[in-house]
Amino acid sequence: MTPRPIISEQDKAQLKRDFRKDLEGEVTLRLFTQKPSPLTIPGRECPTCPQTQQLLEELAELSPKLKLEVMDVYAQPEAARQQGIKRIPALALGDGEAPRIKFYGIPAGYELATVIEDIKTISRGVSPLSMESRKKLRQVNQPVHIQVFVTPT
Amino acid sequence: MGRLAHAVALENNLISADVVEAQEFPSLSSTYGVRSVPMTVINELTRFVGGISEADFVDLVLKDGVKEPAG
Repeated sequence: MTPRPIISEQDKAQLKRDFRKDLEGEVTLRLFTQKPSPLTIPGRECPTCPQTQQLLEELAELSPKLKLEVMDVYAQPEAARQQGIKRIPALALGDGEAPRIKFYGIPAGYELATVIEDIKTISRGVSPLSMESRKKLRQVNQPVHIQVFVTPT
Repeated sequence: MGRLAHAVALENNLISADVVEAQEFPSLSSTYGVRSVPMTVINELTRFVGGISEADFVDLVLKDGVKEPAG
C-alpha cells in the first residue's frame, strides 16, 4: 500500500517550478533515522521517523539537484556521532563532515518552508542576510550553538 | 527564528543551529524550560521567546561568539 502523500499534488507542482528556477548547486539532505521494525524496542521509539522519511523522499523527488541520504543511527553510530547527531529523526543540510544546520523532529508545516528556504540558500550560495549582518558574523571566533524550539503549525 | 538561525549559521564555520520540534523532544524542551515557542537558546545561557529582528539576533550571537584577544 502506498502511503498517502504528505505534500499535496498542488504544492509539489509549485515546488518543482520553484526548484527548477531557484536551485543551482546540488544540496544533500542527510536524514538520520532508524530502520522500520515490527518490534518496538523500549527506549528506541521514534514515532515520527517513518513520516519524516516519507516527507523528505517526496521533497527530494521534486528536483534532480536534491540528494537524500538516509542513515540508520543504530547501524551507523559512528557517522551519527561524527556529525553531532544526538536524537532522531534528524535532518542535516549541506555538505562536509560536520553540517552546521539541523532539524530535529519532523519538519512539517511552517518548518518545511524553512527547509525549502535553507535549500535555496545553500544551493545558490546567496545569503538572505544583510551585508552588515554578514560582516559582523565574520568576527565570530568562538563556537556558538543556537537551538530554536518550535511546534508544528 | 529557525530560518534566521540557519542563515546565521551558514555565515561562519563556528556557528551551528538546530531547529527542534519541541513536542517530539519533551525532555530536552523541559531542560530549557520551553513553555512557549519559538524559544531560542544561544550557548545555553542566552534565552528568549518570540521573534526578534535580524540585527538584534546577530548582536546576541556576537555577544557569545566574539572574544577579544587577551592583552
